[in-house]
Amino acid sequence: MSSPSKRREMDLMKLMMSDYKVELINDGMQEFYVHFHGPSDSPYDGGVWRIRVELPDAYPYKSPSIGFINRIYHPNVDEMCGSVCLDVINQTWSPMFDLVNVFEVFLPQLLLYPNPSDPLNGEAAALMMRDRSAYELRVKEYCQKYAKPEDAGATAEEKESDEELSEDEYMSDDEMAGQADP
Amino acid sequence: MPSGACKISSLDSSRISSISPKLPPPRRKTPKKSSVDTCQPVDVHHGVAEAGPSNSPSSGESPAEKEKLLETDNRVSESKYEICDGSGGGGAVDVMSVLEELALAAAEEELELSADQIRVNDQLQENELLAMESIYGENVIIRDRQRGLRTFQIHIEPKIHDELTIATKLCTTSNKMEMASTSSLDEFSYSFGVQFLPPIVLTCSFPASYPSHKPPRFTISVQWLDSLKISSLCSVLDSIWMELQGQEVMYQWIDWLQSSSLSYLGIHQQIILGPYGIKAIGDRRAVSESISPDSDIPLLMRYNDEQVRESFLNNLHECCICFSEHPGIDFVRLPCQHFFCRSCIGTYSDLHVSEGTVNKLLCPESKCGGMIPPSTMKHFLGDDKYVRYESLMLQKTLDCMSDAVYCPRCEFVCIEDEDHFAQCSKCFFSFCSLCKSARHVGEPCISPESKLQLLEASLVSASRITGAQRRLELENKINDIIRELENRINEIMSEMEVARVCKICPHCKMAISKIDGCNKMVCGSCGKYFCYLCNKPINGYEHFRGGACKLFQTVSPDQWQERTNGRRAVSRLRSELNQERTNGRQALRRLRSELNLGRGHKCPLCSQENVKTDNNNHVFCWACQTHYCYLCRKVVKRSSEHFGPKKCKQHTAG
Repeated sequence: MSSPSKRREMDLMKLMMSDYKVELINDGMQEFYVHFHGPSDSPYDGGVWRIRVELPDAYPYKSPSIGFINRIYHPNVDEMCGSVCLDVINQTWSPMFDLVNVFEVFLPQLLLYPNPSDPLNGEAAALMMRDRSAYELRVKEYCQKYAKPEDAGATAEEKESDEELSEDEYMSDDEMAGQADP
Repeated sequence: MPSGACKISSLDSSRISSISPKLPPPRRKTPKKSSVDTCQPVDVHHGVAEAGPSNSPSSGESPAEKEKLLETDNRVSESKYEICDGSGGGGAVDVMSVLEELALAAAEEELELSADQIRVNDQLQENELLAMESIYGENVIIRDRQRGLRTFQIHIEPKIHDELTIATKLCTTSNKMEMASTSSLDEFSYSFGVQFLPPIVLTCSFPASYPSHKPPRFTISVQWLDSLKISSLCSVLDSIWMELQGQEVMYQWIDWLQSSSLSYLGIHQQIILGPYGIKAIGDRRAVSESISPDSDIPLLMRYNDEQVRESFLNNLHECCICFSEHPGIDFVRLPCQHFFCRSCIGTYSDLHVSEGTVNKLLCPESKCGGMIPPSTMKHFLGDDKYVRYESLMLQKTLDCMSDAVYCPRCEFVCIEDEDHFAQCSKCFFSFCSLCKSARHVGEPCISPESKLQLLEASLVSASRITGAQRRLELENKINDIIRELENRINEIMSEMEVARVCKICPHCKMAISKIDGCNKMVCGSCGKYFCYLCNKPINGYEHFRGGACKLFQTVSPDQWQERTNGRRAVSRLRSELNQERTNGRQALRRLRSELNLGRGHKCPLCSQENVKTDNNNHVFCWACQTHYCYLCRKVVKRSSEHFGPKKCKQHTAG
């Protein structure tokens, strides 16, 4: 592989420049955390997730591994450990894709259009096929319980800078959206 | 045999062909160059009619009146100049002859210059040429001196911003008379974009009186402009000279042609080719090489493509996978036109072949999905990996075909129909693809339990077959195997022979073996030409003028070595085959001997059937009470005398 680090550097930089909050782990550029917001036209709207991205050695020829740190209810995401079913990413991966692609295009698509044919979370897949509205309700529940901004926040400093904004948002959300009753 | 004729024979003896004797090469038309010492204007152009009597410029002796001089020059040029037919003479104009003519026309006005002046001019000309060479490098070509005067050519590439569109109107009528009144319905215009235009060729010759008194004589030759437009360029050059009289003017000319000529002609976004086939009367010095849309358009396109490719190869580009910069030659371009650097494609291919995910070996560009051609793959994988790639591809493709099944007997691929029945095209076994046993129309598939029962039953019945029946079966089987083996051996032998002595016609794939003659072959089956050495299709003797392939070739030591190696390989294969044969025969004999156990034979005396026991060749006939040897059929008096190590063996199998 010619200059593997250059590609990784560029990708990381591009990700950071597109206003994603990125936390590097141990400077190795192998793993890092990214804060991801649910796409606005999906039941995942409003949720904030901390996502762990791991770049394999063969990156960009092999797809990165994606894992959700806080819980999410999705047919292709394992509920307990948060790892995304690899095949779903593998199938569509191309060396031209970069990290921004993953967060701007791929993940939102995955959340909007889950792939029920090969589910990690069988129950979620079954519910989605059987009763769409119940499924959406369940998703929102989980968002409320586990995907609040502070759930995704990690360090104290970040929390401080985030808190002013997130508190406001939180308040307005509460008033406008109201609680979803099970 | 006359030289040039070759005899070829293929393995099929009925096809014998020969090549026609060598044709004389087409005579090339060389333009006549007028000799230096004649002063009469000679017709040196083919295809251009000689017009009018020779004229000498009427006036203009005064060296100061350069304008008048130029005018008369033009008049002289105009009266002689006529394009008869746009499709004919335009391209064949030799600019050197034009310059020659101009020189001749101006010869009468050769000025009286002092030796000093001539020397000064000479020096200035020398300097100017050197300067141009250093600025324009390869684009300046110094030609042989014409009449002792410096002559050179400059290729000027006009600057194009972004892209230019070239358009041309194509008429369906070719009749010139009707052209004027052609309705617009018959016309349609064809246009395409280019980033590079063939250069404007400015050919100049310095007279002795340049730069002090006279300008350089020149012609402008352009591929994509008609003569009127070029004439206007000529007049601009004239006016530039007027402003700079007495000074060197080449740089200004070149610079203007390069940067401002297009906008001067009003060309900003589009060039319209043509007009064609119209009698144009323009400046003598304007040489238009625009002949017809049929020739111009491909030429312009080809030039553009070549230049685009050149510029790609020479410049640095960034690979969109690894983001590192490489020169253009380090890139691989796929058929879908996307390009990536070699190391990226190499890593990409390697990874997928190693992992077996060859389905994903498509163009890395997102949403492109173009295939990577196998030839590219072969280049990047080693031989071993390529083999693996091929087998994987086959497997995956067959897997995709949902109705592909494998014959249970010979493993050959077959297609099943909607009832899950299939017939193998190799061994003709009709089977059901679900249970893999013989076709059972109307009945459901046999269950595994019943299948087992059937097998057991057949085993039992098999063991009950009498010795004779079994013998027969086995014999038949052996004979089949022998026949198959022999057929295969023959096939391989003939293939080997073909490969050793023949070449395959590149057009129709007929195997052809050359007995004698030259290397220009005419295929006996399809009649097309090919070269016996490199096996490529050819048009004629042109191919052998290049130097790579010789028409009559003696075998070089390297080739001899190759042939010997080839022969060695052939003999090795042969010995392998023989070995196989021997093995086969031995196995055959063994099997036969098994059968012969208990086989009856006739007593030499009384013809009664006897049986050899315990492999003992000493047989006692129970009918006539004689002892005889099974091997030589002679009566044996004493066993120890007849049998021994050097005589008939006592015990042999079979």
